[in-house]
Amino acid sequence: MRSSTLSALILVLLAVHLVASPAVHSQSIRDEILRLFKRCVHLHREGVDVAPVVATLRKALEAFDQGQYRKASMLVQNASAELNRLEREAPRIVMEKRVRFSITIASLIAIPIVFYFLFPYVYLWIWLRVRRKWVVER
Amino acid sequence: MNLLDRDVFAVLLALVVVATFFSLALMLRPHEHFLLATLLNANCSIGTYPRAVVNGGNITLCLYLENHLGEPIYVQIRYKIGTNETLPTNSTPSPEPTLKTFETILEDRANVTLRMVVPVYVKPSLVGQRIALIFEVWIYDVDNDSWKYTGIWLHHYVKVYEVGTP
Repeated sequence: MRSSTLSALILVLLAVHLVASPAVHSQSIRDEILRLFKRCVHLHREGVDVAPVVATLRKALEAFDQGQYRKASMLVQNASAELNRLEREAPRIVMEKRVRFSITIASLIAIPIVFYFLFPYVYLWIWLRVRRKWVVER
Repeated sequence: MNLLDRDVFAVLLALVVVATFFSLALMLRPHEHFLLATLLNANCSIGTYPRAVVNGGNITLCLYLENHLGEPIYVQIRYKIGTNETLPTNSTPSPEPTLKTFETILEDRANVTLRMVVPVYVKPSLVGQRIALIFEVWIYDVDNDSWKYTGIWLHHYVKVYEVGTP
Protein backbone atom coordinates (compact mmCIF):
# COMPACT_ATOMS: atom_id res chain seq x y z
CA MET A 1 0.00 0.00 0.00
CA ARG A 2 2.78 2.34 0.99
CA SER A 3 4.90 1.55 -2.09
CA SER A 4 1.94 2.11 -4.40
CA THR A 5 1.37 5.55 -2.83
CA LEU A 6 5.02 6.35 -3.35
CA SER A 7 4.86 5.22 -6.98
CA ALA A 8 1.77 7.34 -7.56
CA LEU A 9 3.50 10.33 -6.03
CA ILE A 10 6.56 9.83 -8.27
CA LEU A 11 4.29 9.55 -11.31
CA VAL A 12 2.48 12.77 -10.39
CA LEU A 13 5.78 14.60 -9.86
CA LEU A 14 7.05 13.29 -13.21
CA ALA A 15 3.89 14.45 -14.96
CA VAL A 16 4.15 17.90 -13.36
CA HIS A 17 7.78 18.10 -14.41
CA LEU A 18 6.96 17.14 -18.02
CA VAL A 19 4.17 19.71 -18.23
CA ALA A 20 6.20 22.50 -16.62
CA SER A 21 9.47 21.74 -18.44
CA PRO A 22 8.78 23.51 -21.80
CA ALA A 23 7.66 26.67 -19.96
CA VAL A 24 10.79 26.68 -17.80
CA HIS A 25 12.95 25.99 -20.86
CA SER A 26 11.29 28.74 -22.90
CA GLN A 27 11.76 31.21 -20.04
CA SER A 28 15.45 30.32 -19.87
CA ILE A 29 15.81 31.03 -23.61
CA ARG A 30 14.18 34.41 -23.14
CA ASP A 31 16.44 35.23 -20.18
CA GLU A 32 19.47 34.13 -22.17
CA ILE A 33 18.47 36.40 -25.11
CA LEU A 34 18.23 39.33 -22.70
CA ARG A 35 21.57 38.46 -21.08
CA LEU A 36 23.29 38.26 -24.48
CA PHE A 37 21.64 41.52 -25.56
CA LYS A 38 23.10 43.32 -22.51
CA ARG A 39 26.55 41.94 -23.34
CA CYS A 40 26.08 43.16 -26.94
CA VAL A 41 25.31 46.69 -25.76
CA HIS A 42 28.35 46.80 -23.47
CA LEU A 43 30.57 45.52 -26.27
CA HIS A 44 29.09 48.05 -28.72
CA ARG A 45 29.87 50.85 -26.26
CA GLU A 46 33.50 49.71 -26.24
CA GLY A 47 33.54 50.20 -30.00
CA VAL A 48 33.04 46.66 -31.34
CA ASP A 49 30.64 46.06 -34.22
CA VAL A 50 28.04 43.63 -32.86
CA ALA A 51 25.49 43.99 -35.68
CA PRO A 52 25.69 40.32 -36.82
CA VAL A 53 25.17 39.05 -33.25
CA VAL A 54 22.24 41.41 -32.72
CA ALA A 55 20.69 40.21 -35.99
CA THR A 56 21.04 36.60 -34.81
CA LEU A 57 19.42 37.50 -31.49
CA ARG A 58 16.52 39.13 -33.34
CA LYS A 59 16.01 35.92 -35.35
CA ALA A 60 16.17 33.93 -32.10
CA LEU A 61 13.50 36.16 -30.57
CA GLU A 62 11.31 35.76 -33.67
CA ALA A 63 11.69 31.97 -33.52
CA PHE A 64 10.89 32.08 -29.81
CA ASP A 65 7.72 34.11 -30.41
CA GLN A 66 6.64 31.57 -33.03
CA GLY A 67 7.12 28.75 -30.55
CA GLN A 68 10.15 27.31 -32.36
CA TYR A 69 12.12 26.81 -29.16
CA ARG A 70 14.69 24.43 -30.63
CA LYS A 71 15.56 26.86 -33.43
CA ALA A 72 15.64 29.76 -30.96
CA SER A 73 17.93 27.79 -28.66
CA MET A 74 20.29 27.00 -31.54
CA LEU A 75 20.43 30.65 -32.63
CA VAL A 76 21.08 31.72 -29.05
CA GLN A 77 24.00 29.28 -28.86
CA ASN A 78 25.41 30.67 -32.14
CA ALA A 79 25.06 34.23 -30.87
CA SER A 80 26.71 33.30 -27.58
CA ALA A 81 29.69 31.69 -29.34
CA GLU A 82 30.12 34.70 -31.65
CA LEU A 83 29.83 37.09 -28.71
CA ASN A 84 32.48 35.13 -26.76
CA ARG A 85 34.81 35.42 -29.75
CA LEU A 86 34.17 39.17 -30.08
CA GLU A 87 34.75 39.69 -26.35
CA ARG A 88 38.08 37.85 -26.59
CA GLU A 89 39.14 39.93 -29.59
CA ALA A 90 37.63 43.21 -28.35
CA PRO A 91 40.93 44.87 -27.28
CA ARG A 92 42.50 44.18 -30.70
CA ILE A 93 39.38 45.26 -32.62
CA VAL A 94 39.06 48.50 -30.61
CA MET A 95 42.76 49.28 -31.04
CA GLU A 96 42.58 48.66 -34.81
CA LYS A 97 39.52 50.86 -35.06
CA ARG A 98 41.21 53.69 -33.13
CA VAL A 99 44.38 53.44 -35.23
CA ARG A 100 42.34 53.49 -38.46
CA PHE A 101 40.38 56.50 -37.26
CA SER A 102 43.54 58.36 -36.20
CA ILE A 103 45.19 57.65 -39.58
CA THR A 104 42.10 58.98 -41.39
CA ILE A 105 42.05 62.19 -39.33
CA ALA A 106 45.82 62.69 -39.70
CA SER A 107 45.57 62.13 -43.48
CA LEU A 108 42.79 64.70 -43.78
CA ILE A 109 44.75 67.28 -41.77
CA ALA A 110 47.84 66.60 -43.88
CA ILE A 111 46.07 67.36 -47.19
CA PRO A 112 46.41 71.21 -47.03
CA ILE A 113 50.06 70.94 -45.89
CA VAL A 114 50.94 68.51 -48.69
CA PHE A 115 49.05 70.70 -51.14
CA TYR A 116 51.00 73.80 -50.00
CA PHE A 117 54.40 72.19 -50.56
CA LEU A 118 53.74 69.91 -53.53
CA PHE A 119 51.22 71.76 -55.68
CA PRO A 120 53.72 74.34 -57.13
CA TYR A 121 55.94 71.47 -58.33
CA VAL A 122 52.98 69.52 -59.70
CA TYR A 123 51.81 72.65 -61.48
CA LEU A 124 55.29 73.19 -62.91
CA TRP A 125 55.46 69.58 -64.13
CA ILE A 126 52.04 69.87 -65.81
CA TRP A 127 53.04 73.24 -67.34
CA LEU A 128 56.15 71.69 -68.86
CA ARG A 129 54.30 68.57 -70.09
CA VAL A 130 51.70 70.71 -71.84
CA ARG A 131 54.39 72.83 -73.56
CA ARG A 132 57.04 70.17 -74.31
CA LYS A 133 56.36 70.28 -78.07
CA TRP A 134 56.67 74.00 -78.23
CA VAL A 135 59.45 75.33 -80.42
CA VAL A 136 61.46 78.39 -79.48
CA GLU A 137 61.92 80.80 -82.39
CA ARG A 138 64.15 83.79 -82.62
CA MET B 1 57.78 78.60 -59.16
CA ASN B 2 56.89 82.00 -60.57
CA LEU B 3 54.77 80.32 -63.22
CA LEU B 4 52.05 79.85 -60.61
CA ASP B 5 50.36 83.11 -59.80
CA ARG B 6 50.51 83.76 -56.04
CA ASP B 7 46.90 84.92 -55.81
CA VAL B 8 45.61 81.89 -57.70
CA PHE B 9 47.66 79.61 -55.46
CA ALA B 10 46.27 81.35 -52.35
CA VAL B 11 42.69 80.86 -53.55
CA LEU B 12 43.31 77.18 -54.35
CA LEU B 13 44.93 76.65 -50.96
CA ALA B 14 41.99 78.33 -49.22
CA LEU B 15 39.58 76.01 -51.09
CA VAL B 16 41.56 72.94 -50.02
CA VAL B 17 41.65 74.11 -46.38
CA VAL B 18 37.89 74.74 -46.33
CA ALA B 19 37.15 71.36 -47.96
CA THR B 20 39.39 69.62 -45.42
CA PHE B 21 37.73 71.26 -42.43
CA PHE B 22 34.30 70.51 -43.90
CA SER B 23 35.25 66.82 -44.22
CA LEU B 24 36.61 66.77 -40.66
CA ALA B 25 33.43 68.37 -39.32
CA LEU B 26 31.31 65.77 -41.14
CA MET B 27 33.41 62.95 -39.69
CA LEU B 28 33.51 64.23 -36.12
CA ARG B 29 30.00 65.65 -35.79
CA PRO B 30 27.80 64.00 -33.14
CA HIS B 31 25.03 61.90 -34.66
CA GLU B 32 21.45 62.80 -33.90
CA HIS B 33 19.84 60.04 -31.82
CA PHE B 34 16.26 59.12 -32.54
CA LEU B 35 13.91 56.20 -32.95
CA LEU B 36 11.46 56.13 -35.83
CA ALA B 37 8.12 54.35 -35.55
CA THR B 38 5.29 54.29 -38.09
CA LEU B 39 2.00 52.47 -38.11
CA LEU B 40 1.15 50.71 -41.38
CA ASN B 41 -1.85 48.78 -42.63
CA ALA B 42 -2.26 45.00 -42.89
CA ASN B 43 -0.22 44.96 -46.13
CA CYS B 44 2.56 46.80 -44.32
CA SER B 45 2.07 49.92 -46.45
CA ILE B 46 0.67 53.40 -45.83
CA GLY B 47 -3.06 53.98 -46.35
CA THR B 48 -6.35 52.00 -46.28
CA TYR B 49 -6.36 51.46 -42.56
CA PRO B 50 -9.32 49.56 -41.08
CA ARG B 51 -12.03 51.89 -39.78
CA ALA B 52 -14.39 49.45 -38.12
CA VAL B 53 -13.96 46.23 -36.21
CA VAL B 54 -16.27 43.70 -34.60
CA ASN B 55 -16.07 43.56 -30.82
CA GLY B 56 -14.03 40.48 -29.92
CA GLY B 57 -12.42 40.28 -33.34
CA ASN B 58 -8.84 40.72 -34.42
CA ILE B 59 -7.21 43.45 -36.47
CA THR B 60 -3.94 43.24 -38.37
CA LEU B 61 -1.55 46.16 -38.54
CA CYS B 62 2.16 46.57 -39.17
CA LEU B 63 4.66 48.69 -37.31
CA TYR B 64 7.82 50.00 -38.93
CA LEU B 65 10.74 50.68 -36.59
CA GLU B 66 14.06 52.30 -37.40
CA ASN B 67 16.82 52.57 -34.82
CA HIS B 68 19.12 55.61 -34.80
CA LEU B 69 19.83 55.64 -31.07
CA GLY B 70 23.51 54.88 -31.55
CA GLU B 71 23.42 51.39 -30.04
CA PRO B 72 21.43 48.13 -30.28
CA ILE B 73 17.99 48.27 -28.70
CA TYR B 74 15.57 45.71 -27.31
CA VAL B 75 12.16 47.08 -28.20
CA GLN B 76 8.83 46.17 -26.71
CA ILE B 77 5.58 47.36 -28.27
CA ARG B 78 2.77 47.46 -25.71
CA TYR B 79 -0.69 47.28 -27.19
CA LYS B 80 -3.54 48.92 -25.29
CA ILE B 81 -7.09 49.97 -26.03
CA GLY B 82 -8.09 53.43 -24.88
CA THR B 83 -10.17 56.48 -25.52
CA ASN B 84 -9.30 60.14 -26.04
CA GLU B 85 -9.03 60.51 -22.27
CA THR B 86 -6.53 57.68 -21.81
CA LEU B 87 -4.08 58.36 -24.62
CA PRO B 88 -0.40 58.34 -23.67
CA THR B 89 1.71 61.50 -23.70
CA ASN B 90 5.35 62.07 -24.60
CA SER B 91 6.32 61.46 -20.99
CA THR B 92 3.71 59.10 -19.55
CA PRO B 93 2.26 55.88 -20.93
CA SER B 94 -1.46 55.21 -21.12
CA PRO B 95 -3.00 54.06 -17.83
CA GLU B 96 -4.88 51.31 -19.69
CA PRO B 97 -3.70 47.71 -19.15
CA THR B 98 -1.38 46.13 -21.70
CA LEU B 99 -3.29 43.57 -23.76
CA LYS B 100 -0.45 42.23 -25.85
CA THR B 101 3.26 42.84 -26.33
CA PHE B 102 5.52 42.49 -29.36
CA GLU B 103 9.28 42.40 -29.01
CA THR B 104 12.25 42.72 -31.31
CA ILE B 105 15.95 43.49 -31.16
CA LEU B 106 17.43 46.03 -33.51
CA GLU B 107 21.03 46.90 -34.27
CA ASP B 108 22.03 50.54 -34.72
CA ARG B 109 20.84 52.07 -38.04
CA ALA B 110 18.67 49.06 -38.81
CA ASN B 111 14.95 48.75 -39.37
CA VAL B 112 12.28 46.12 -38.99
CA THR B 113 8.60 45.78 -39.82
CA LEU B 114 6.52 43.96 -37.23
CA ARG B 115 3.27 42.34 -38.29
CA MET B 116 0.82 42.55 -35.41
CA VAL B 117 -2.49 40.76 -35.00
CA VAL B 118 -4.21 42.42 -32.07
CA PRO B 119 -7.47 41.57 -30.34
CA VAL B 120 -10.17 44.24 -30.04
CA TYR B 121 -12.60 43.77 -27.19
CA VAL B 122 -14.26 46.60 -25.32
CA LYS B 123 -16.93 46.92 -22.65
CA PRO B 124 -20.52 47.23 -23.98
CA SER B 125 -20.66 50.97 -23.25
CA LEU B 126 -17.96 51.60 -25.84
CA VAL B 127 -19.64 49.60 -28.61
CA GLY B 128 -20.57 51.91 -31.48
CA GLN B 129 -18.04 54.48 -30.36
CA ARG B 130 -14.61 55.39 -31.59
CA ILE B 131 -11.79 53.82 -29.62
CA ALA B 132 -8.04 54.17 -29.94
CA LEU B 133 -5.73 51.24 -30.54
CA ILE B 134 -2.59 52.38 -28.77
CA PHE B 135 0.91 51.13 -29.48
CA GLU B 136 3.56 52.34 -27.03
CA VAL B 137 7.25 51.90 -27.75
CA TRP B 138 9.32 50.78 -24.76
CA ILE B 139 13.01 49.93 -24.80
CA TYR B 140 15.11 47.92 -22.37
CA ASP B 141 17.35 50.16 -20.29
CA VAL B 142 20.53 48.14 -19.89
CA ASP B 143 21.95 50.47 -17.21
CA ASN B 144 18.91 50.20 -14.93
CA ASP B 145 17.85 46.66 -15.91
CA SER B 146 14.27 47.71 -16.58
CA TRP B 147 11.88 48.64 -19.38
CA LYS B 148 11.72 52.34 -20.14
CA TYR B 149 8.94 54.22 -21.94
CA THR B 150 10.46 56.10 -24.89
CA GLY B 151 7.68 58.67 -25.16
CA ILE B 152 6.94 57.37 -28.65
CA TRP B 153 3.45 56.08 -29.20
CA LEU B 154 1.12 55.49 -32.12
CA HIS B 155 -2.60 55.17 -32.22
CA HIS B 156 -5.31 54.31 -34.66
CA TYR B 157 -9.01 55.05 -34.20
CA VAL B 158 -11.60 52.41 -35.04
CA LYS B 159 -15.33 52.09 -34.44
CA VAL B 160 -16.36 48.95 -32.62
CA TYR B 161 -19.50 47.09 -33.58
CA GLU B 162 -21.27 44.07 -32.17
CA VAL B 163 -21.91 41.14 -34.52
CA GLY B 164 -25.07 41.85 -36.49
CA THR B 165 -24.90 45.63 -36.06
CA PRO B 166 -25.58 47.31 -39.44
